[in-house]
Amino acid sequence: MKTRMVQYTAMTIICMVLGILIALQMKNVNENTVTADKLEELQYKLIDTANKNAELNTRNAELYQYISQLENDYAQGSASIESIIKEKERLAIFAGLREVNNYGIQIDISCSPESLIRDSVIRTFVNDLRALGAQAISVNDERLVATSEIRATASSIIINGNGYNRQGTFSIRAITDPSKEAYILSYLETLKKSVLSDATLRNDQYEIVFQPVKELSIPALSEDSLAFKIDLLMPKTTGQ
Amino acid sequence: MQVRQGLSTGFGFGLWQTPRKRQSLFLFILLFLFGVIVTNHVTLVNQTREQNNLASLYKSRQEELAAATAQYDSLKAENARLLEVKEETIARVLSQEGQPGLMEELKRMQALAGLTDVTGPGVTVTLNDKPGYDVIRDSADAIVHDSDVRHVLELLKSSGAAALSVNDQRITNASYIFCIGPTILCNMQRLTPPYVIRAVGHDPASMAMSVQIDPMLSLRQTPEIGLVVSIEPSDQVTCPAYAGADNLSQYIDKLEVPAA
Repeated sequence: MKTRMVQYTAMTIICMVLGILIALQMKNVNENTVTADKLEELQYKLIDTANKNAELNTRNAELYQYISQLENDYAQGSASIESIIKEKERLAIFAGLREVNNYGIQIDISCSPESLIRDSVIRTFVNDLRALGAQAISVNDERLVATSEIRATASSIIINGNGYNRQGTFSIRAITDPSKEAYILSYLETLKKSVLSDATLRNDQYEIVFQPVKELSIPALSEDSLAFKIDLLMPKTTGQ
Repeated sequence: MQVRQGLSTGFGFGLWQTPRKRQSLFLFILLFLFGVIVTNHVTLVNQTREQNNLASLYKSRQEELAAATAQYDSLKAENARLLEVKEETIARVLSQEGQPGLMEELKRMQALAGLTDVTGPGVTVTLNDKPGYDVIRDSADAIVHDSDVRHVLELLKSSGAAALSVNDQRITNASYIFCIGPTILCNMQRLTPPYVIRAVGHDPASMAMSVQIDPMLSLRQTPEIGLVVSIEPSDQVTCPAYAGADNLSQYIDKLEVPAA
């Protein structure tokens, strides 16, 4: 009888310990949700933010120096407007209002005489050239700015309000960093292959040729162009 | 009855024949299970220790990120303040030099380059993933892709947009829209859905219509796909200035202007 009691007690204890261990295991499994991937993602964000901070720090220091210089000149009554004219020119270049030239890439796109070139193909190359760091881009000598449209109509592609025959060759020019030539050419080769293998474009028989050009020129866009709507861009002054 | 006999004689090799043997078998199974769980538990405890290290590292990185983000916000505010001071100083210098025309020209260039806030009639288009998107059940067309954002921007440009922004990032000559994993990169900033695209233009109704009647977006909004697109024309839409006004060199350092 006593032996049986001991046996039952032992079994009860074992069962209880077993239950506790199982409960503990379940708890651990539920709690451990931090994965190495999550940590890696967080670390990436941290590095990204730290880089941005370093860059902003430098920019702020440069701005501070520029302002100090201007204020010193102003205080001494010897302000030089040269730096301000330079600043204005930098803005004009960035806005696409100046003709620019340098090393770059030229991409010529055409398709079979029975087909029409699609605006999406041109836009793909333009967007990817921007992502590749192109500083100025033109399509058929139309300088592209932030609001330039590339839109197909029945027979033309409209760029900056001007139409270009969809059966002709479209020539994209971009000023890029020469030190990245190998990477850019290999990227464009991949992009070209993906366009040529696209089932929806295959019947158009695209021909895409690209090459680096030692010195290419990209025209300016006039302030009067349809792409700029200066009346909307300029801040309204009081009373207007 | 035959089955029970089979168990007690054939399969069980007679173990079920006496209560004592039954008890021993039960005890054996219980201890075996106990052994397995203890081993498993020990393994798990070791893993937990590693996991705890991971969790504490994660927590400390989270704190570092919060500090870095706060520093970024303060640096951005300082940058905005310095840009304002720069503007005021230039205005004072030009006034002293008797060059008000140059100030006007400077402002015009800033506006054309996308470095000023633009407010006017326009449209707000919001693109969002299907609510409760399920990667297995739903179509890939139910989420917003970089090409969709580019597509809407093209529609708005074609219908007369003068200024554009995506999630308050002003679209400039140097902007591009590119996807990085589940986010979209624009002006070196990672954007997440919903993507709020704003456009200022003379004809908000026409801009809204161009998005509304677009066949691709219409198809993507059908209940079977479920992409969410909302279009809101308005008299007052603001596209903020490009935030990197003092950092343009990186976008123009390869551009040579021919001598006049």
